[in-house]
Amino acid sequence: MNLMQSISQIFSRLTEVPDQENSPFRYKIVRRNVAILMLLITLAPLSLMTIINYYEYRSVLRDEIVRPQRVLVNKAKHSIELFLANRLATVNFIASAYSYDELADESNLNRIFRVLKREFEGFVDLGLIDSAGFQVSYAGPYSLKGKDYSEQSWFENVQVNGAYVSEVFKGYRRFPHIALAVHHLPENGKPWVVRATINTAKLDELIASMGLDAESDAFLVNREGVLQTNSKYYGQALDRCPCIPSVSYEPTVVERVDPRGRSVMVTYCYFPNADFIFMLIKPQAQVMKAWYTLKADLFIVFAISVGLIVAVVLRLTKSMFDKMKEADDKRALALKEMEHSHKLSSIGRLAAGVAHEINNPLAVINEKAGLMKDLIEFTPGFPDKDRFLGPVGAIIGSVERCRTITHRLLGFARRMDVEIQVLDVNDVIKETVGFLEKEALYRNIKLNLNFARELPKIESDRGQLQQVFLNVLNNAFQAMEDGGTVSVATFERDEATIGVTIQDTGHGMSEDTMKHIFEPFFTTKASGKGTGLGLSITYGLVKRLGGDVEVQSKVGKGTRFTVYLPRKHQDSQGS
Amino acid sequence: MKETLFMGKITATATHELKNVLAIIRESGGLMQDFLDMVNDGSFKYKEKFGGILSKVEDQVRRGDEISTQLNRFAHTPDSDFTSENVPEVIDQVIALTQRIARSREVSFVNRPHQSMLTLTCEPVKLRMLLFQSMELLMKNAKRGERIEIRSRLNENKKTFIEFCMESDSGRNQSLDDLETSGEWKELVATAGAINSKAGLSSDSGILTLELVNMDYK
Amino acid sequence: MKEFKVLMVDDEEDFVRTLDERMKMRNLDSNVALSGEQALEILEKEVPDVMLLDLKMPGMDGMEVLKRAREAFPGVQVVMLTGHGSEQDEAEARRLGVFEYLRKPVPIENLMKVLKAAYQKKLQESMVAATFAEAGEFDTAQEILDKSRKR
Repeated sequence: MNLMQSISQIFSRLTEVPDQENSPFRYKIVRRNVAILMLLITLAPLSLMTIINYYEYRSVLRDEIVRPQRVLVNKAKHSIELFLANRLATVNFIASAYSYDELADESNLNRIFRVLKREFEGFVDLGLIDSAGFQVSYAGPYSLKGKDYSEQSWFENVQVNGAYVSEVFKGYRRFPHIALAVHHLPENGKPWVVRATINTAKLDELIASMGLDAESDAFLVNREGVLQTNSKYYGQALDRCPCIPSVSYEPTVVERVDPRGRSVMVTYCYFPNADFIFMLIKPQAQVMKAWYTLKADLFIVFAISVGLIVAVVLRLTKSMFDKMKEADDKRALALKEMEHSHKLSSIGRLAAGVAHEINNPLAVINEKAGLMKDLIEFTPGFPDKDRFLGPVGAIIGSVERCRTITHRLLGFARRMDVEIQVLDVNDVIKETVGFLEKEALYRNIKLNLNFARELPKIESDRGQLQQVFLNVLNNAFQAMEDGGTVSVATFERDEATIGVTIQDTGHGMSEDTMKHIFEPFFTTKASGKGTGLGLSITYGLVKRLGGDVEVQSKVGKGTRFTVYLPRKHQDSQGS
Repeated sequence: MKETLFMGKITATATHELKNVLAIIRESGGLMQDFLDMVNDGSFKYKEKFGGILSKVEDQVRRGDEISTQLNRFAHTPDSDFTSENVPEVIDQVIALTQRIARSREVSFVNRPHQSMLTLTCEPVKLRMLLFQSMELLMKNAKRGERIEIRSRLNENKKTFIEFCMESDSGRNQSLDDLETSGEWKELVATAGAINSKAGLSSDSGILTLELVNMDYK
Repeated sequence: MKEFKVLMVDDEEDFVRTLDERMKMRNLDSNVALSGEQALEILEKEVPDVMLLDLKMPGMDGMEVLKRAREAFPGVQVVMLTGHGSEQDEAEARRLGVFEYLRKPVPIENLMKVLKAAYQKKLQESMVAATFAEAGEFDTAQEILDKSRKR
C-alpha cells in the first residue's frame, strides 16, 4: 500500500507542469519530467523482463549442467558399491563354502587365498578368526596369526550384523586398505569370522574410469571427513578433507568455496550401507561457462536496449519540446502582436476623442464669424462693409481648413481599425477612380481600366483598400504632366493572391528614389507640398492587409505599382 | 511600433497645422477689433455686439489652441522603448486629454502627487495607455459628479505607486466582481503586464492601484 | 410669418445661441435647448418641425433624445449636428431614423439646405398621413408613416 502511494506520488510529481509560465526553466523541467516518465515506463518492464529471464535461464541452465553430474556421481557410487558388494559376497562365499577346520588349516587357507588373488583383483590377505576374536589362521604378506581382535569394535559389529566393511585405514600395513569381514554361524558348532582386506587401488581405478577433466576432482570420504581415496587437490587418502556436506543418499549439488579459494560446485552422495561419501568437485568457472556466456549476452542486449531507449526518448522529448517551444513562441508573438494592435486602437481612440473636441470651439467660431457676416450682409448700408467682410471671410475659410484637417486626422485614426468583409476589388477600384474623374477630366488624363473578368472576391477592408488605391493613383497623377495616361489592371496572380497594377506615363523614378519611396516623410516634391506620408502609409496599409507592393520605374517612361492582396484575410497580420 | 509612429507623425503634423490656422483666425479677429477701435463716431451700431463676438471668438481660439497643444504633445510622446519621465506630468497630460470624455460623464480627475518629481523609466506610450485605460474604466464606473483623485508616490519597495481614489464610497455602478471580469479590466491588466507592472482593484476608497517598475535598458 | 420651427439642442451655449440668432435672421422660428432633458420638456409644449441635435451632452445624450423623440414625436425630423463623428455613431443614428448626420463645424448654407429638405420631408409625410387618416385606413399616425415609408 505504502509503495503504491509513493509510486503514485512520484508520478503525479512528474506529470505536474510548473506554474511559472514565464520561467525559462519551465520547458527544461517539463522536458526532464517527461523524459524521466518515458524512461520509467519503458525501462521498468525491460529491466523486469531481463531480471526474470536472468533467473529463469540460470535455473534452467543449472539443471542442464547439474543433471549429468548427478548421473555421473550416481554411476560412480554404484560402481563402488557394486565392487564392495562383490568382494563381500566372495568373502561370504568362502565363509560358507568351507568348514571351520578347512579354513583353520593354514595351507588350505593359503591355497584358497591364492585362487582368490588370481580370480579377484585387490585382495591383500585372508584370515579366520574364531568366536573369541582370536586369529586362527592367516594367509597374506603379514604375520598376523594369533592376533586378538576381541577388543576391536568391528569384531563386535560383524557379530551383530553378519557382515562388515571397514573404512579405509592403514592399520598394521603401510598403505590404505579396506577390511571385509563375514560372520558365519553354522547349524551346529561355534560360529567363526572370515576377514579379508582389499587395497584401494581398485577404487582409484574406478574413479579414474569416470574420465574426469584436469580441473575436476572426485574422491571418497568418510563421514568424519577423512579422505578414503587420493584426491587431486585436497590431499592423499586418510588426510582430512575440509568439508562434509549434509547427509543425502541421493546425488546432491551444492556450491562451495574450497580451501584454495576457488568457487566450486560439489556433487556428492552418501553410501547407504557403508560409511562413505562420494564427492565430485568441479570449479564453477568451468561448469557455468555456458551460463556466463549467456549472462554476458543478456547484459549486452539489455545495455544496448537501454542505450537505444534513452537515446530515442531524449531525441523525442527534445524535438517534441523544441516544437512545443516554437509553437508557444509563435503564440506569444501573436499575442504580442494582438496586444500591439490593441494598443493602436486604444491610442487611436484617445487621439480621435481629442481631435473631435477641437470641432467644438471651431463650430462656435464658425457661428460667431457667420453671425458677423450675416449682420454685415443683412444690414443695408453697412459702413466699411468690405473692410469687415475680409477678415470674417478669412475666419470662416480658416474654420473650413481646420475642419478638413481634423476630418483627415480622424479618418486616419479610424483607419487604424480594420473591418474585414468579402469584396470585389474591381468595384473598389471603380469607386476610387470616381474620386479622381473630375481631376482627370480637368487635366486631360486618360484612365484605362482593364479589369479581369471573374476576378475572385477577397476578404479585406474596403476603406483601407480605397486609401491604398487613392494614394497610388494620386501619386501617379502627380507624377504626370497633363494629358498622360494611367492604366489600372486587375489579375489573378495565383490561387491565393490577386494583383492590381497601376501604371502611369509620368516622369518615373531613379533607382535611388525607388529605394526610399516607402519610407515615411520621403518626398520628391518641393518642401511644404505634401507631407510625404502617402506611399509609406500605403505600404503600411497593404502590409497590414497581408499583401505586398512592388514598384518598377524608368526615368522618363513612367512607374508601375503592383499591389498584391491575399484572398483570405489572416488575423495574425496585426489587424 | 511602425503604426504608432505614423499615427504620431500624422497627429503631430495635423495639430501643428491646426495651430497655424487658429493663429490666422486669431489675427483676423484682432484685425477686426482694430477696425472697431478706429470707429468712434457712433455710426457703427454693432460695435458693442461685434466686440462681444470677437472676444468670444478669441476665447474659442484659445480653447482650440489648448486642445491642439495637448494633442500635439501627446503625438510627440517619445516613440522609444524606454524613456525616463516625470509621472505627475504624464498624469497631467493624460487628464488633459481625457477631459472631454470626463466632462461628458460629469466626472473629474485631480492629480495629487505625493512629490512633484517622481521619475520612472518606462515605455512612454504604454504608460499613457495604462493611465488612460484606468481612467476610462473608472469613468464608466463612477456616479455623476464623482471626483477621482490620482495619488502618486514611491512606495516602500521603491516602486512607483499610483492610486485612484473615489471621493464617495458608493460611487460605483458595477460590483468589484463584475469589474474584474470585464473586458476593459483584462485589457488594462494586459497593458500593465506588458510593462512588468501590476494593477489591482480593491473595495476601499483607493479603488484602483497601479504598481509600476523601472524598465531596464535591454 | 416664419418659415418653420426649429429646435436646436446643444450644451455649447455660445454655439447654439449664435446659431439661433442666425436662424432667426434667416426667417426661421428657432428655439434653444441646452440639454437633452430640456429638449424633451420643450417638445412636450411645442412640437417643432425639425430638431437639430448634438450627440455628446452631459446628462441625457443626443442618441437617447433621438430615440425618445422618434417614439413620441415621429413627425419631427431630426438632424444630427455633432463634433463627434464616429462611424458607429452615424450608423446608429441613421438606424434610429435621423434625416441627416452632419459634422461640426458646418457652413451655414449647407445647414440651411439640410434643414429645408428636412422640413419638406416632414410636410410630405404629414400630407400622406393626413390622406390616409381621411381614408380611415389606419388608426395612428405612426402606422401611416411606417406604411408610407415602406412604399
